[in-house]
Amino acid sequence: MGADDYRHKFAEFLATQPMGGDLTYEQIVRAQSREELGISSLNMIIVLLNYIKEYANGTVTVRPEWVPQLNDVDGIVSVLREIDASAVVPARS
Amino acid sequence: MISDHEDIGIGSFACAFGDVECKPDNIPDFEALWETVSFGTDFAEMGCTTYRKMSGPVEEYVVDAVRRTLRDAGASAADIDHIVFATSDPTLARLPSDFAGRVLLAVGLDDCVPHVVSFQRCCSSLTALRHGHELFSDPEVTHVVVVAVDFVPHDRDRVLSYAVFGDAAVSCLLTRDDPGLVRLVSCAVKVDPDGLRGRDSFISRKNVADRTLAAVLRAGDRQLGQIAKVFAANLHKPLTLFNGTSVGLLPDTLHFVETLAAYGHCGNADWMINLIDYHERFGIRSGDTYLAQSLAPGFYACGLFEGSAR
Repeated sequence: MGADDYRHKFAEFLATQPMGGDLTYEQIVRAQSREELGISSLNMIIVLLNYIKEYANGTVTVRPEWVPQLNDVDGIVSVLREIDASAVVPARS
Repeated sequence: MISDHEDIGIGSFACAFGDVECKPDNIPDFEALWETVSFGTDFAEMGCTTYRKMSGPVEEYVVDAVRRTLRDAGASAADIDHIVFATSDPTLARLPSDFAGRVLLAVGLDDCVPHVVSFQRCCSSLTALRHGHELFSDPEVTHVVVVAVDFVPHDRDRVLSYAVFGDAAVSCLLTRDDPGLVRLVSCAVKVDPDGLRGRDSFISRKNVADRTLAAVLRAGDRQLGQIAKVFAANLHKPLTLFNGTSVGLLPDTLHFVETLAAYGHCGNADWMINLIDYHERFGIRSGDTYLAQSLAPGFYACGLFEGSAR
């Protein structure tokens, strides 16, 4: 999957999260920063850990080098790609 | 800071939790309160099911903890040279002006100098431990008590997005020429100026955490992989796991889940509560390295300990 595909995957996953319910698909795909989406850092952490649970069956641990990337959408998408690539179990498409 | 006093043992930890067990969702209008503070998160993810509330004056719980520490150590009140109280900034403002005197008189600490360490929010108790340790530079000092205390008078003030606050007083004894349960290897607290301004971010929080952890490991001549267990702060469970892993600590080394569920976040006393709980469940092992970790907006503190030979 390319970066655009991962933006869509992030948008779809966010829509399933309690704090992502008010965001439209277009908003998420166009956004540059997490702040634009109104996602707090605590919510970002919860989304990230829920993503690991959902797509990596909890087998991936947050890496220190991912933390600075969680402020902008490109960085978040890059982290999601790395989670999928690191998953012990095959990532769900 | 690296310990110059390898002969100082730290032990006889004692907890006095608030005597009333409460459930967060029994706080009046809890759902509306949570919606106001939570940024849309599900409260169940917090990991806190009950907290303890002090129904009496705070000094009663402090006196209870100190008495149990002395009893466990087989020390008399006359043995204690100094007592160091540690508390977060909001609790400092709530303590009565004669707080220290009331505790000294109640315990019978007639030749004991009181101190207070605060203004470092939930990181105050690690600095208090370090201060207590440094008091042994006076060769006449043989016993120092350190007490961490925090409480919240109004239940609605207990609930924040990152924690549910509970009440507790926890004490321990530093003794010269006694192995104790652990000995302090190194200790550090660092400041995040963005946090002090209320503008902390993933980057600023990670930066202060990395600097603090690196400082204690360097001073203690230890590697991250040598840490057997981490006595973490009892914050929102996913947040605590993230905070640990974001500096390279493995999730299964963090000890906090059970005490978070039962007691919530007891301010600057969390790492002591978790050390006690871990020792009761599994036992502190001689020669193993342990990390105490505290954090608050603007601050990050770490203490490295080594299990004592007993």
